[in-house]
Amino acid sequence: MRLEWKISLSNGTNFIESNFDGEKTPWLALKEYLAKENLKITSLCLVDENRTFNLPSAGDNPKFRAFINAPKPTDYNFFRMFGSDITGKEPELFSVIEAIYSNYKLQLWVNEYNPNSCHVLVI
Amino acid sequence: MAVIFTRILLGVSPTTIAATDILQFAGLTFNSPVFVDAYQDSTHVKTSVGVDKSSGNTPNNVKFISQAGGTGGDSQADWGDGTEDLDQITEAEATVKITVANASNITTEDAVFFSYDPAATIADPLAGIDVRAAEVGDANFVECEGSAAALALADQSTPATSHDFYIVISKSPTSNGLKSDKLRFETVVI
Repeated sequence: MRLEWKISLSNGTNFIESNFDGEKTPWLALKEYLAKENLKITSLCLVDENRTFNLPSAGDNPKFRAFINAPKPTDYNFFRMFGSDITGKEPELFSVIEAIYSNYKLQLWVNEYNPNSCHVLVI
Repeated sequence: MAVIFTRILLGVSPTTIAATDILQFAGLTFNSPVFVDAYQDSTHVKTSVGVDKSSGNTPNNVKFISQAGGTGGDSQADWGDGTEDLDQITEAEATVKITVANASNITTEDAVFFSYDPAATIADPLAGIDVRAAEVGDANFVECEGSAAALALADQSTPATSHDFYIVISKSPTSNGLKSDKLRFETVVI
């Protein structure tokens, strides 16, 4: 089971991480593509075969009034965080998607080895 | 993504450190004590059943000498050739090599390395031990006790399927008794 990022763009197209496999890392390749095509991300989520983990959308057509009224992110980011003791506990790897606002960031962390476990941070 | 994580005690031959092993900082020989306020004279990999896994590999040992007594305020250490400035150590002479690998290309950012008290949180240093670490190329050791005092490792921003980190580690007890801290590595992977 593979956890991947999935994006919607300002021109209405959608991509998943594996669409950008190549010499560069998928996220770096995406950023180059966005700059070249002058596009913006309007939503970002993590997906696997069974689950979708969504961040607040910056698009114009979100579901529910609460989503319409909520502040819209100005940008998005993605990274993975790896951590391990040199000896002892098994390593952990989280996929992290980030909604960026003017004064703070909202992060959603999903455990790649156990996608039933996730955390939310506001930093 | 399935990141492959390996850590090796460097030496004439490498010794792989398994999750169940102990990275031992000792006196002159395996299992021998280090005097209070002295730094270790040997480094070993000890298995969960107490065997010296690195005994046939002539493992490296890097002993802290001074924090700023070298040329231009450099730290000093002894890795077998007498006291030298820390920035002269090579990758092959470091204590451990940590590798983060993946089937497709990745980059690493904001990697850190630190010691903590396994009976508390990663923010807490273990009492009674001085832990100094540096990345090969650094001029000075960092007293990396607790996550807030972590050694920052250089970003590796060229996409590749494998990224290596060469780290120098030296430890000293500041009080009597066995000291069992944990060493932790974290990195952003993109």
